Amino acid sequence: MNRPSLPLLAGVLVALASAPVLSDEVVAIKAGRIIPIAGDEIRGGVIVIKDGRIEAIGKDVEIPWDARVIDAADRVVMPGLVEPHTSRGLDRPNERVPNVPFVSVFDSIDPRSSYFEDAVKDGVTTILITPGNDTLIGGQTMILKPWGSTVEEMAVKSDVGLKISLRPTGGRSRMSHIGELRKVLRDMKTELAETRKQEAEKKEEDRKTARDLVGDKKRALADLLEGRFPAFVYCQTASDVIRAVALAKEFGIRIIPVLGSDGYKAAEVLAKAKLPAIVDPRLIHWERDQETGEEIPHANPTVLRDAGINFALQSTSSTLGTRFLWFQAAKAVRHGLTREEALRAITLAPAQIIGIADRVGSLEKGKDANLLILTGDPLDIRTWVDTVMIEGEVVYERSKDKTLEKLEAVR
Amino acid sequence: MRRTKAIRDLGVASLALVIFIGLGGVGTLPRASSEETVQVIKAAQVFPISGPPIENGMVVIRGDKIEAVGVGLPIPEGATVIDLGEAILTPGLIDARATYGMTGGENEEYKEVTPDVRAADSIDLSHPGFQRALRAGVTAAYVTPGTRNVISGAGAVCKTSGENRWLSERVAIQATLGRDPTRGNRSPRSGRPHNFYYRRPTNRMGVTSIIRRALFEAGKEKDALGLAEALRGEIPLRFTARRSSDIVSALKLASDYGFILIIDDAGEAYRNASDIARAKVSVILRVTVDPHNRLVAEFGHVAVDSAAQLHRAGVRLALATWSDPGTAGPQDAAALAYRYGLPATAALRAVTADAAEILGVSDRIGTLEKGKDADLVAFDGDPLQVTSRVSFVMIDGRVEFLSTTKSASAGPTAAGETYPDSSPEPASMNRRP
Repeated sequence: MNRPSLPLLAGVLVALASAPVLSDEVVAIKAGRIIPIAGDEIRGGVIVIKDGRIEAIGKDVEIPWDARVIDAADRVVMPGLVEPHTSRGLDRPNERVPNVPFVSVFDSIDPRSSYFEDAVKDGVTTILITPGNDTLIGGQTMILKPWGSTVEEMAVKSDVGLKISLRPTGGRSRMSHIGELRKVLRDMKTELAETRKQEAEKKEEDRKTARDLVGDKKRALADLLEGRFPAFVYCQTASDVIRAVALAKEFGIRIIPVLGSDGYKAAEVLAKAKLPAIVDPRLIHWERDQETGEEIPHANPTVLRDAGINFALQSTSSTLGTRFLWFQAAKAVRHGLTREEALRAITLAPAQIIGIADRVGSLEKGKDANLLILTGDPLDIRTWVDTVMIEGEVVYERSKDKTLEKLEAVR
Repeated sequence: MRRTKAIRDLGVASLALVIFIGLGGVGTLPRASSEETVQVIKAAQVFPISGPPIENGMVVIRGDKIEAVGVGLPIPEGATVIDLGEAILTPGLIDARATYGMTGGENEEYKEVTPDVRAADSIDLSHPGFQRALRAGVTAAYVTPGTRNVISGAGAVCKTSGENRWLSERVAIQATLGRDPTRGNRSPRSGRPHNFYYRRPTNRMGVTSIIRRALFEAGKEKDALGLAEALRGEIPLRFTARRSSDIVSALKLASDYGFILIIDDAGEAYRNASDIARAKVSVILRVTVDPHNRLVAEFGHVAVDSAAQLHRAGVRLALATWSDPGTAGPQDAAALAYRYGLPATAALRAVTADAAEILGVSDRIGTLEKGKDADLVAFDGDPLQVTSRVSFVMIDGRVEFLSTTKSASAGPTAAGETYPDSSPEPASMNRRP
């Protein structure tokens, strides 16, 4: 990410983003039940963590002599949850102007937002923060961990993607909204081609890349068109998915569809285009059968699963259960997923979709030690997050949580 | 159907079920005559709510009423047996606060005080919201006018499906404290208020004084409907009150005027729990899980363990989500209240028996007992687990929904847990030392 007004900050940010904060302790967790997500569950296993990463995981893993041992023999250990697409934690989700590829959530994130405190407690350890859906080209997204007092400390990865929304803004029609998007992309494509042609005619030592010459306001678009990162495209309706796929093809860009409530209708389109999907947090879409008058529920996760699509779940900012990723996963099970599929949809699948599966999403050797120690099965209503570890560091312990102390334990 | 598949598909779709249905699937069920047809519903667990859970229990239904509940009961001759297999059978859930079904708006705005207005006159029984509610296990709902009026009219209880939908057309008269009735109102800069928008109250002082005035006027009319009945204790007044100060106002009004008070929403009621209990006031609690006890405008400082606190103080509770059950219904409300400390049996009661009592329809619904309406719901796992799905709904002895697919909700710690009255509290609430 290039921020011409603060190049030093950019350098620091990039440096931090590529080197996770490392704990120099060796930690071993003895767990009654380990859910690695990638691979079978392990009963009575050990996870060894070194330098903030998982060093070993298995049933017969030897505990190093100098390891700090965490006894979780009656507990369940799983990877930290991954929130693939949220605008919480921002000052405001969208800029008033619809075409702003140059803005970044970096400038809007409030590390003190209670959202991050909640996220940790609810077991979320990786979050992709994005501009909201009330936009055309909304700006740049980032991946953060909900731990740190500055955005730099929280940053895990930038240059993650551009937000695009196909939902018309300001009361206009889809025709003009998407027409403008196409025009913006076409103009950029043309400009890049012309700039490259011009540069090609110069002497080699005088040549600059088209990207460098395009200007700050449009650089993110150049990056998108040159494949440096994808676009998270909000498809309010299933037909928007078709449009998004067509746009992706026309401009050769990578897209990650963010579905609306009826997104399941586009399952075949997504499957054919080999695209993943981020599921609308409402999960269920009700439609009335024209003939019988019957209200039929359609479960987005189940339909997408049946079509073989890699999908992730989102949570919301509601005051009911949908604010919890585990609740969304449990609801998805109610409506047809297996427990394994549901857990994958809040861990490894979102990690893959947002492009950070090399580091998080499952408990595997070499990945960041982002994990949760739970009091029980992650989809059980009675389960609480006991401990949260991010990059090998314990960032939350329920026993020390003052707000939960106020909850009078029954008996 | 291959033998191995039949055995694998035990769950809800047992062989007896297939024989009964004939066709399988949803929506093509023969309509049982509501006269003297006898049916027997069997399930691995039957929760009557009025008593402890019954393992391998059965409910005998004659016509549209429950005839018997127990285990090992003789099966009457000619009875149709529906074996729900591993399911958990409970009374139909009750949504204690719904607005689905209301057509043309929830608020009659020609006056601020409209106690004689009835939600029942606005309810369209074919509204799709009732179907969504039914699929979420709701067999009866209290449908109410909105909160824009100071006194908005009477709510009704109706069933979500069947041939006799109305349980009661006039269950309680709704009133609203706080600022909801002031929204959109403004006072004129000069001169007297001269039209509809100026006449209405602009802050909670005005709202409360309008209620006082209305009650005072009603006290002078001996044989009038509406508020006069409420003053005689013949119909409850249900106040939407969220902030602690509004709840205190409601308690004071009830004490001053002697009407039966029910409090709706009750976000900060936990702060007045003992006063509410002492006054024997029931609460329809809007379940919320904002963990920060944050001050949220008119909602006050909500507490995630509100239900548990009220229950501990001895307040009779019903739980509701204030949402379309297709999104979040009584099952979710009970599950979340349970998670945050409400005992399991109390959580289930709050969406069945206690809700029925508060709504004044407990002679008909709310428990599985002889003589009550045959309104039953089955879940393919523990109803207080989010993973559990409604697999069967019966209203007035008629099967309204039957699912032949089983969701993967049976997990290592989920299905099969029972809730005897003396069950220990959820293990999760005990902290590790």
